[in-house]
Amino acid sequence: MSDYSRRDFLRLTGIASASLLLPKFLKGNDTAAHEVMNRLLLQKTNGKRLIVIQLSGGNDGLNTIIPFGDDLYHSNRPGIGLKKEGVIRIDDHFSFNGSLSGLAALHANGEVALMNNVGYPNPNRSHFRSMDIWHSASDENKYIQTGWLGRWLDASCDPLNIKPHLALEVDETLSLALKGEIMNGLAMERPARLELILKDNFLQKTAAAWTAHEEDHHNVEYLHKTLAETSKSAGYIHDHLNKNSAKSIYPQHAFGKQMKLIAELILSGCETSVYYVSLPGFDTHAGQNNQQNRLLKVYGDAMKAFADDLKAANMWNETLTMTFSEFGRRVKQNASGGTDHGTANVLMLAGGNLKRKGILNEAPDLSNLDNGDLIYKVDFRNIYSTVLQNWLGADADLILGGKFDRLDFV
Amino acid sequence: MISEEKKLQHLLARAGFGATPELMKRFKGKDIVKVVDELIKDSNVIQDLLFLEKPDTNDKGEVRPLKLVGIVLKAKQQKEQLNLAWIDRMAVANAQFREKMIFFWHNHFATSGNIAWLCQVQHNLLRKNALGSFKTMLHEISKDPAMILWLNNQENKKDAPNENFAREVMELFTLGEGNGYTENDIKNAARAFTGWAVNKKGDFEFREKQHDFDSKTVFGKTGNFNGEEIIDLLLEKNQVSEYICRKIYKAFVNNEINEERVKELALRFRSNDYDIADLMRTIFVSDWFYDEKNIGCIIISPVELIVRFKNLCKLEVDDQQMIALQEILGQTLFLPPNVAGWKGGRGWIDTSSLVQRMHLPKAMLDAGTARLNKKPAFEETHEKNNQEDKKVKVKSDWTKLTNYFSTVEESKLTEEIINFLILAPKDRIQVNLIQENIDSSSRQRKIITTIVAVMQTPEFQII
Repeated sequence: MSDYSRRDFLRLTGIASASLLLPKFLKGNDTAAHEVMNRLLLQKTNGKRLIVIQLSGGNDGLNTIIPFGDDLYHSNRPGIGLKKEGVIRIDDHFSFNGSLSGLAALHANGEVALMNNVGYPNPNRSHFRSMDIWHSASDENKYIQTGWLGRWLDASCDPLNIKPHLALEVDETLSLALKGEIMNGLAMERPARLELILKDNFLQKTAAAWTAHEEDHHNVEYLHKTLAETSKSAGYIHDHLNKNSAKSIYPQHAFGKQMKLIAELILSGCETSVYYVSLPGFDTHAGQNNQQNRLLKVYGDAMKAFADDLKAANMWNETLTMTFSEFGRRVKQNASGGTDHGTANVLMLAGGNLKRKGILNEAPDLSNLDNGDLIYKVDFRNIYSTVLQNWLGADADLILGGKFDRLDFV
Repeated sequence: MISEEKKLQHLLARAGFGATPELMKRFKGKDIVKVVDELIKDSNVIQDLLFLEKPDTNDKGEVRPLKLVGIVLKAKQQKEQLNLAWIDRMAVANAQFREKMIFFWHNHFATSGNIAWLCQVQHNLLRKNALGSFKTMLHEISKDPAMILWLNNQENKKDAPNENFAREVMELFTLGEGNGYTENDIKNAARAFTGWAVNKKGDFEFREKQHDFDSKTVFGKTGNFNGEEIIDLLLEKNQVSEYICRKIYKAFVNNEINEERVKELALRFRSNDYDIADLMRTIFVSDWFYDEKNIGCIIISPVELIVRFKNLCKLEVDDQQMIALQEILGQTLFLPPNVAGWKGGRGWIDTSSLVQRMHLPKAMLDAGTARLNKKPAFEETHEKNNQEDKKVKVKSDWTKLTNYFSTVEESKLTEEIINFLILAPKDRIQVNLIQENIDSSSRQRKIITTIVAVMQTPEFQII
């Protein structure tokens, strides 16, 4: 029986979300039954890690992975279009933005995959709304108030042994993406911040005093439970983090520090499966190139440093990074040397164990635009579905609330 | 048996921002129906929030295009100023009940936008109608400039209809998702709202040339409907009163719906021409509102929590930090996550926000150790590389509360403070743990530290 994965168990018993229903199985205080169930349901993370990197503000994909061989690229962007000396060639058609030398180095090793034209139908050009859609994985006209990784946590966590730190956002506050129906990930900008709870005697003791009341659905129980879980996760991170484990040099930038922290957590053997981190500043309506190139340099260099650290520890093969932005930008540059909010975009994957590498699909079609914007070809939820099912070993259809064809990059 | 005092505290928590020493003194011993009527009477006064000045206009009363750029650039800052002005108003207003209702409607008609002035205009629209007729409010908000821009009705033209407003007015404002309308209803209703736009003066304008005067079929009825008529057709549907009453019940009574009560309320609401004050009074004077299961069961929202701290112990932080505080706790006024508003309930609570909530009383006590940093907005570059935690000056004043408890016997102090501050079930509160954390160096210190410990319990987060 112990060979059953939790997922198999759920499937066999036909329970959509065990997290919701499980406590009802366990009525009474039969400790033997608890133990059996516990063993049966013991979370089996498959040892793989996902790092989601959010480029906030709408990164201009056309100046990131550049369709350099397309004349329309140059004619639409006489001012901000990159010139030969500013790019790193991939093939006859594509080039990296020259600031992405770090990522280009990974690409040369076959550790990068690039998916063009990722988006969704009827694209929304509001930062907030479009980010919401990406976080919740909802249709563009639906409002779902949980996130795809939060629902992954719901579906993956043993309800008797909840661990918010399995999905960790390196930030001050928790993004919608990591909020589930029943469970939430852990937000932590820096480990020192955990002291807020770890050093507060009163909070610690209140947390320690909690015991599960499975039949109690009152909000009082919910708050006590959340406090206890938070305290446990904070303690876990505090005890496991070996701060000097990352050896690479990371960019002197908040994002560099955040990627370094993630590397340290991984190298310290933390059981976290999903990490989430953001690099803001991509809303380049004016004077785009200076700003975007600077940010891409930070991004590319941090990626390289991160990959190097993980490779040195033989952990890069179990790691996948996925970089997205809430939308791309318009094909034509605007009058201020920038670009305005657009639609479909390139999504970048990196890791030591990609099944397909390099450019994964057709190039953006700059001759066939919708009101000056790229037309999406790949729904972002096909990527989520692939990552959830093929990489994290989760039930993607359950988590995404529908079937999205899986792709073959992992 | 629920004590009269507990009932009063429950009413004050739901119809306002919670019991304070002043309110307890004023209402203690009075019949609860009388208290309800006094709260409503206090709220009869409508005082607009007039914080931002109307942007400069030319002699035609129009905002110059260049000026508009400046307005948009300043939007974030100005919305923050408006936010702070409202928080202050909530804390000091005599019309607590009206403020609470405006707060509810701000989440219902959740709007933001790039022109702070229009946010203020809409805010005052909600202010005026918060306790009036939902029918009037719905008609007015549909022509509200901020709403028109927010839901893209500016782009809704005869030749290229934009369905955003038509969809949301049904899905979020009146019927609820998938509840009594079809995609075709949305398409046709959208045509009826074509030409509803905002002019350069910042006012509503009907643009005849952009309006589709042809016949439309909505909810099975066919006619040359205009926008007003669509709204009236909507209001004929029973689902509207049921949807609104369900939402009100969740926010003011209990997250767990009692469908029978909601049906009763909805019937009364629609037969009373959607009179909001009457609906709320009906709830607050009913016996079931004071049932044990309805008391102390709702997780307080971040803004209410902040106002509660302001009311009880004069919480004060500088302006930017007050915004940061809201962001960290997950609710920034005039900046709802989207048109669906804040999720509320357990959605307020995550690992980070709960700890921040529970840490706040301690920060107030220690005056100056709270650390707040917020996420950068989409528009900001925010070079955070060298930015370390800002130490925030958190000011507070505990005089009012210490005075209130000054005559309480030593042995009853903890119990009395718990009774005053906590509405949730008390069986998990560990009195011994609270007492361990008390500083007994002086009577005053003892009272303050007991209050802080009680405010640090999870139960304090529930009203």
